[in-house]
Parts: sequence; structure tokens; C-alpha cells
Amino acid sequence: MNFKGTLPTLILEALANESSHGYRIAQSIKERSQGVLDFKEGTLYPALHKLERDGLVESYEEAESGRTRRYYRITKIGRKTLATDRAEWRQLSRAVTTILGEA
Amino acid sequence: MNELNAWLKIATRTLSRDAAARSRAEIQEHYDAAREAALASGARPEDAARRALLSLGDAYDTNCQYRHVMLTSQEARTLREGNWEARFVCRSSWLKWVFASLPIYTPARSRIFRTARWALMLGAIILAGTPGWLLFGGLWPIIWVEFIRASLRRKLPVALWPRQLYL
Repeated sequence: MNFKGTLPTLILEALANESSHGYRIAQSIKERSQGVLDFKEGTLYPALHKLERDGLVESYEEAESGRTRRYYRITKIGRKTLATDRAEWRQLSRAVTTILGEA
Repeated sequence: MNELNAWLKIATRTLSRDAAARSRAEIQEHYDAAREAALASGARPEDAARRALLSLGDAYDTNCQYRHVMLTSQEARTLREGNWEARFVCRSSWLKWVFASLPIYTPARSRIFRTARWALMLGAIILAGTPGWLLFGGLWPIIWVEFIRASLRRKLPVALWPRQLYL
């Protein structure tokens, strides 16, 4: 399913409860959407860089199983943005459901 | 592994050295994790490698997205060497003082400064009656540098802007 434009919000949601690395973020989004949101994982990193540049997430390196991985965590600004995005999405979703429900 | 290298080569094409190194490391990390997960689910090694590569998607699309958010080698060079106004200004202590004291070092003020500078420059050229081909030829390098700086302003957080990006 095409969900262009919503990937940054989904990444923030995946990071809302715990820091994570790219692979786990991708799997979390796919699992939580029960496979409906399937995206090419190479595109996850440019989106993460953009979020980092905008100050919504920050990254750090950590060793895991003998290998260094880059982890991402959500910032305060990121949490505020996520809250706004959630509210906007609910409003939009309600409006579209109302219209489509009438058809 | 050769296929992954070919994928990475395309995905990191034209990126600056630092940006390419970071992108390569994170994609490699992702590929390894995806391959290990496939192996753990019982896939044969060659199938696991193929699945891990397929999950990354199209290298050209990824490259396009990387170039939108990370510095390209051209932009990194402009950032490093393209500070010709500052070099010119710093030759004279008087000019240096004037430029340092200009109240233009905020994004909004610098936008006004650049608009005024372009308006003045174009106005002067038009008033001088410069032929179109000469105008285009003469302005092309300046337009190109301005284009790269606009891209840098979009990609770098304001806190990391060097002075040249305000001009």
C-alpha cells in the first residue's frame, strides 16, 4: 500500500516507546500494520536523516552482539510533532471515513 | 556481497565522502540484520542474501532520496572552498568590520539581504544594457553557486550554517 508522506510519522511512532535501530524500526512498522504497509527499507534511512536534521530524532552508536549499530531515539520536539500528527491523522481519517461511509 | 556493493555504489553515488560512508555503514548493517533474520527463519544462504537485498528496494530511488537530505560532494566542496565573498571581504579590515556588523545573520534577514542584492545586481546589469547572452554567461556561475547554497540551507540545520550561507 502506498503511504507516501506518512513514513516520518510512522518512524516517530515506532520510536515513541524505545530507542531502536533502522532494521528494527522497519520490522516494527511492518508488523504493527500486519503487513499492509510494505515499503522498501532502503528509503527508511533518508527519512531518518531528515528527521535527525529537523531535530525530531537523535542518533548514537551502541555495540550490540559485538557489532556497532546506530540507534535512533525520539526527542522532545519529535514527541510534540508526533502528538500533532496523530491528532491531524485522526481528524483526516474520521473525515474520509465519513465520506466513504456514505457511498 | 558483490551485489550489495553494486547496490551501495548506486545508492551513494555523488554523496560527499562522509555522507557516503555513513550511508554505506547503515545499509550494510541493515542488510546483515535482514540476512541473519532470513537465515534464522530457515532460508538457504543465497536465498537469505537475495531476500535481504530485495528488501532494500531500488538503489536509484534510494540515491535520489539520499541526495535530497544528505550533502553531495559538490555541496561539501562549496561549503569547504566556496567562501569567496568572505575571502574578498577579509582582505580589507574596513570591509570586514562592515560585513561583520551587518544585522543579516538570521535566516529571515539574510533572505531579505539576498533578495535586495539580486535586485540591485540585476537592475544594474539591465540599466547598463548588457546583451542577453552576455548576461546569462556572466551570471551563470553566480546562479550555480546560489543554487548549491540554497540546497545547503535546506539540508543543514540553521545552527550549523557558516556565515557564507547568510550572504
